[in-house]
Amino acid sequence: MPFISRLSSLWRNLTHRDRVDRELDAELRATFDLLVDERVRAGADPREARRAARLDLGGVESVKEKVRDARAGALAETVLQDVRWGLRLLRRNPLYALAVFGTLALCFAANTALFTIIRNVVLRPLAIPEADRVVLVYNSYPQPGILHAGAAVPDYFDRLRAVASLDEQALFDRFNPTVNVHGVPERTHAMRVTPSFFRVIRVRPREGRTFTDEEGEVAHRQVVVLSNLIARQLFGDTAVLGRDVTIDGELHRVVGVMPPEFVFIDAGVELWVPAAFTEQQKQMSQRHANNWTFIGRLRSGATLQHAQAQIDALNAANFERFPMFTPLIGTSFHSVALPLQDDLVREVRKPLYLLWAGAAFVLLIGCVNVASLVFARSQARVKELAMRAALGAGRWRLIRQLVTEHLVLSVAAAAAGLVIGVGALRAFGTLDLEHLRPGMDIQVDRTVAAYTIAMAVVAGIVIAAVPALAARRMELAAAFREGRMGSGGSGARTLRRVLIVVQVAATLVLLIGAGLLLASFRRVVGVDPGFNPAGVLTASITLPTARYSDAAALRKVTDDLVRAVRAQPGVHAAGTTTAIPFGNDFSTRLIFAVGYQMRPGEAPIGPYRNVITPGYFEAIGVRLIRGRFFDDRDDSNVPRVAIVDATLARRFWPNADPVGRQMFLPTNPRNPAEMSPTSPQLTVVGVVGEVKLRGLVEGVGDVGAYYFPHAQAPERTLTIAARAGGDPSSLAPSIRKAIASVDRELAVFDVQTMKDRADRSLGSRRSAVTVASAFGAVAMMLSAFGIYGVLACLVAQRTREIGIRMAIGGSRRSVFGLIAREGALLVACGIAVGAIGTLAIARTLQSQLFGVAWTDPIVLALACAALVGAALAACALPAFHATRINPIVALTE
Amino acid sequence: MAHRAALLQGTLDLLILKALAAGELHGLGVSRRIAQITQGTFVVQPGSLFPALHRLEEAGWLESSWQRSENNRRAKYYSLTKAGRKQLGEETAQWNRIAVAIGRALGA
Repeated sequence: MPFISRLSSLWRNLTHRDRVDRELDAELRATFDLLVDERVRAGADPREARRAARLDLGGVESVKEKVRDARAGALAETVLQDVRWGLRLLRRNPLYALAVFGTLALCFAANTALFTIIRNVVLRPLAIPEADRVVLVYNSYPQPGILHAGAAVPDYFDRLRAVASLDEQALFDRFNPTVNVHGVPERTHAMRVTPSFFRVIRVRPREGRTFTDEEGEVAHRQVVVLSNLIARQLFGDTAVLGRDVTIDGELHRVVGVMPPEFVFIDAGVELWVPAAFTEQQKQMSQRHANNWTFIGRLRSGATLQHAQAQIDALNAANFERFPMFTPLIGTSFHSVALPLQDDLVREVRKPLYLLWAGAAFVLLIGCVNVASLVFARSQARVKELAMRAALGAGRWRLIRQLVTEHLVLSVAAAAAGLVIGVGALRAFGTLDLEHLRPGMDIQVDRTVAAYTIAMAVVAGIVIAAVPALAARRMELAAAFREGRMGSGGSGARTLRRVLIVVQVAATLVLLIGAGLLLASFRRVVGVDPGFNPAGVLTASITLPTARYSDAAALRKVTDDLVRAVRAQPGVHAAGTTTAIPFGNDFSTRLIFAVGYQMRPGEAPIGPYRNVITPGYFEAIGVRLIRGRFFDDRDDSNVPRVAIVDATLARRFWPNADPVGRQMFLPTNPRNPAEMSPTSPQLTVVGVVGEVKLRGLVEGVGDVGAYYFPHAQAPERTLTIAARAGGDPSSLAPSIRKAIASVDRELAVFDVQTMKDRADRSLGSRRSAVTVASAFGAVAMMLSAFGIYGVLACLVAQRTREIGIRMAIGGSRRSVFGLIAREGALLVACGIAVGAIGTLAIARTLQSQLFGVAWTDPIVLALACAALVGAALAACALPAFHATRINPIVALTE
Repeated sequence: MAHRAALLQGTLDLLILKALAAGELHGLGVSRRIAQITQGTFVVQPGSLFPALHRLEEAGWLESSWQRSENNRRAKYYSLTKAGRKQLGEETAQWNRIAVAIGRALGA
């Protein structure tokens, strides 16, 4: 039949349901009359004829039901009917509806929230056209531990020539220029990009254009593309194109504005300027400088493997072309091509998936509870179901009704869960994940909605399966006689027991997971950061080249700044650094110790490089192990000095005093480890304790760190650290004032206490712990309710039996034991299954732990104890009720 | 009733169409006509007949109207539509092909 006609008849059936029904009624009545007539004419007694006709016709209701089923749209019609019926039943049992709805809504909310994060962070980290075709290529030097370096300018020009599988290629680099916003210097996030960048990402500007290739040449007039946000901030609603913006003191002409929803890697980026490479930057010596990020878009038909192969061939050819780099072979140098999206989510994927699994477990436990509840209530409804079956409802029809009823509840709960989950995300932020910066819009798209709906449908069917299975086996006669179905049947009871075991097992896994994360977090918090964060305020600045062109100027302004800050009342000590602990700016550079013999196969190391002023160590409270801190003696007029941390000292001078020893910086690209007369040499004047630069867990890896005095190696991006006597945050205004007194044009950013920095560095771990603990607590509560429900039901069913036991002399104690034993057995089975489940996720979990083994006996014991405690409490109540059964009442009922 | 046979899948539709080929009938009439033309081999119960009639009507092969029966009772009469007639032709041809094929197979 044509689709349209089927549709129209469906519509007719739905809209004229009553008319169709009445007509069917009339038709069957007419048939009945005809049958009677037939028999009367054949000579039968009218009453006898009517009886026979009724038999002939069969159950009128059953015929009607079959006709309805046969009609097009029968399904839709019965569904509507079921929905209406289901809603009516729920209205009559608001408490039941609320319990089911509430449990499901909360479980759905947790799942939806996590899926939304995963969808936004892991599944779609890049919102650009065909994002999966964009690859990142980075240089890697496994031997010295530099796994993920960037790319160098010559790499770009080589690859333009030799890597045909990439359609478009681009380099970009992030920087933080100061922009004049209505007279106030503001530090911004920006990207320097080759003009090809916009062709790789394939995003068009909202207005204007992106860069022409000529604008990527040196000495071209300076242009900029703005984000929608900063364009509005700078120019309001007036025309933007052709206007000038002062970036780091230089005028840039605006040529384009990106669309408001455009985000590439970092939502905070506000400007893009063209990268122009000087001849010097393209030179051979720049190879392996790796201060750019290389991306490319795969040509249609080309695969990642093609690109990787071409890059490998190029690298091999380059070793031939430039023999001076052959020592790099010893570092296992190679270039890695991988989808940019994979690189972006590398770190966050695993913890998110673990939390998602936790949410799924909570949902499972919630569903088990709801199924249990539904089952208990379907026993109360057995008479209604039996009645409908007797009146001609098919078994499938009954099952379908049960499923529909619960789908209604489940879908309603899913809608609520979607609202709650996404609302909670919006309200409480995004679990402090690095890739979800504040301001990033959490998008709820069709996929998220589809996920929630799919979850609801599956949950609804699973929940309804319990009473439906029981209904399938329902014996009508028995149902009428006893007023309950299947409940006495061992099958149904076994099912409920299995559900409890599953629930306890899932809860145990969650509790162990949460417990381990908590224990791990306590270890992390307990790590000695190597300095004293309390009482320290930090503030960052960048000294623009325009005003501070040379080393002398940098030295002077830094001196002035430190002096001005120290002069503020309440400041006990102050200094600057290029790499503040728990910050974002770190650099690692090769350094060598004079006289240090590398073992065969050992590669040069690139420890963390810090440039600090005297007073910095005192300000943040670093421990001096040997020698001395920097002081005013260490200026540009004396030979260079350095301080090393304990980790680096152990590596270079394992059995000797490092103080007085020499180090040098590489100058010979052919052989960096070779000291030449021009190599800068440094005398070690002190050894300090290891400062956990990157964070409490990451620290400084196993390569350590070294420190140079600022006067001997001036830098532009500095963080000032000041130690206060009291609350450091109260220092903020006076420090801003001190900086402004030196240079009003300086943009001060990241003004925050060291404590806040430390806290924030723990943010994503802390939220993982919080979320996991919440899941564990909810799971434990739900399980306790589940166990209670099953045992209470058991007591109710066995009231008569217990009454008899007590009547013939059973003690209360033995009755208590009877019920409690049942519960304890279930819990024990659940724990055994849960242990197996824990084994299954142990490896994934372990990768998220710090300083704790997943087999940690204390955590395992506590998790079991908590679970057993809650479960026993849940067992005890119904067992106690059982002992209160009055035998006389139980037996006469 | 001794020869009552189980209806082959799809046969019922064909029989109903065939029964109505000679002219319009009410539901009971269709049942009686089928019994008659199959010489009592097939007796269609209301529980199968009415769903089938309604299904064929929804499919557009039958149409129905309320009329007076021979003994002056109101009854719902079914008749073939143009599409129904065409469908009868097609199903008859197909049935014959199957019958011949099965006859051959069994006779071989």
